[in-house]
Amino acid sequence: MSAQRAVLFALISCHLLAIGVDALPHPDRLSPVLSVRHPDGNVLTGFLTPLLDATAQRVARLEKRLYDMTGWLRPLTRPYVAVGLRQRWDMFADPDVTNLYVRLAYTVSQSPTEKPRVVQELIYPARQEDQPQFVYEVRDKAILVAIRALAYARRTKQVAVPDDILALTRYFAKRYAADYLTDGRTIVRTEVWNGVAPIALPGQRLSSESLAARLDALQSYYEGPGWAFTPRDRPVTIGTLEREADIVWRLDFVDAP
Amino acid sequence: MTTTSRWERFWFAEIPPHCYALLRILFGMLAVVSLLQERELRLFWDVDGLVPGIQDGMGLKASLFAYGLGHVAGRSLFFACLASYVCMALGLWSTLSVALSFLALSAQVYWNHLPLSGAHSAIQAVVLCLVFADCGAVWSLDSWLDRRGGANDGTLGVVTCPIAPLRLIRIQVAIIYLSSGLWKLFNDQWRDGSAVHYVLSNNVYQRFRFQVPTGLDWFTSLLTYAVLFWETSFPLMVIYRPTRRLAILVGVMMHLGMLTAIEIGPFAWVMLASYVSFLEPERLPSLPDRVGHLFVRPSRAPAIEAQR
Repeated sequence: MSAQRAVLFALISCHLLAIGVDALPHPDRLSPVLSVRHPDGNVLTGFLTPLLDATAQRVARLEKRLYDMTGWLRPLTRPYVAVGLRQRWDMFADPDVTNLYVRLAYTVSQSPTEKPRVVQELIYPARQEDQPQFVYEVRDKAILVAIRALAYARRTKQVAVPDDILALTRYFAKRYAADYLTDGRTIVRTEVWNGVAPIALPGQRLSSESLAARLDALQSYYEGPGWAFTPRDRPVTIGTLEREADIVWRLDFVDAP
Repeated sequence: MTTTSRWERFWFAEIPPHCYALLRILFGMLAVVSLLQERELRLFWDVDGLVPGIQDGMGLKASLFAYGLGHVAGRSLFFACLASYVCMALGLWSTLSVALSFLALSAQVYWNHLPLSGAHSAIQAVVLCLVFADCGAVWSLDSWLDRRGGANDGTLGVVTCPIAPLRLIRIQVAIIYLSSGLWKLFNDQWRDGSAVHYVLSNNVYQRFRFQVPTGLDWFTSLLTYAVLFWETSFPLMVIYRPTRRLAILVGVMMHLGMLTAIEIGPFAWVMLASYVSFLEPERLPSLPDRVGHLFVRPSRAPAIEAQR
């Protein structure tokens, strides 16, 4: 092998090592497999679920060992993969078992004496549920990433507020203010409410009444930002729940600059 | 043949450049399409849009914003990315435009990672490999201009380049599927066979509002396990030629199925395009002729003349 090819081969090896090491996720990022389940579903799930649960437990141990063994390499490979070779391929790895919605609530105020009013806007998903979807909504992806970054920061107990969620609240608040607030009023507080609505379990269906009621509740949001029907005497706190048809809204974040 | 020479041949065997050219064209086009999905400049490119990085008042983006250059910088980056990707797809200044495209893809991640999905990462990983390949030797504006200018005297047919970048792309695609399969293995819904049911029922992905029929419970379980097994076994299956064909065939069916049932952006197209790297590089030069024959029947006149 010529010297030039030897150097090239060394570079290829380093590249493969770096992306291989980066492809190993931190063990804490993987959902723990607590027990081996024996579901009563169809023949296929009855046979494969316990087998895969047991396999996943073994793979988790192996993965942790591999992650620990390659720990000393990570500081060396991280700068290389950071240029745009991150190997996190977790598409659909954690499918949502509920439908998701995100709405923002802007508290609009003109002066300290005026009673603030709340405007609500549904920002996720971008398309109306009663319409077919033929175009990919990039905005949905951006919102979902920001919401997940907040959830991750909360789960890992990071103190700092992720920049992503602030970008989201400030962009939409500014957009609303530019479009609707022309008389000197300002947004003093933006709330992020995450809504979840059930998806039928496999082998089951949701009643058409509950689906119609959900669509009815969403219809008012589709007409654009509107005043909240519930008057608020005092600001609501993180974790507050509200219900509309079968959608349960939870206040997850407040941006009050 | 010694192990060393076999190993050397594995990485440095010479192949026709057509597979690199086709990958350049496809990934250039996909990069353009993905970028155009973010064409709402106020939303994704202006620093006070849905763009992280200025809220803490630190860093390059915050500084640009502070000096009133945020909008100019964001929009300039968008058009610079677009120019790089278009040049790459057309094969204009190929070596430079592929390298610039990789830098542009990385710059997109720096500027605003929020709207970017796995498709972007996959494009980036493939384009990096293409940086080290001769992508403009054929099927490019470069080669056309060379021919027109007389720089190429017709010896292009014997031009070859090393297989290493192609091998790296194949390994990258295998890592994508293996990693994706292993992530899925650590999820309850993938192991109990319900994941595809939930993906098909999700309000954000669904093309049409519908509920999975109760009688199809077994089918969605079958699809769930098929995806899980196919993804985790993909690296092994592509090693041997007979199983490679099966792996690619299942992949094509799976991605086409996803494209039909759900809307998840360009990811399925990106993975389908990456399958070009698994085609036999020696057979690609005749691809235009073979595709042409599918649409244009060869004239029967000479045969008829001969009979006469």
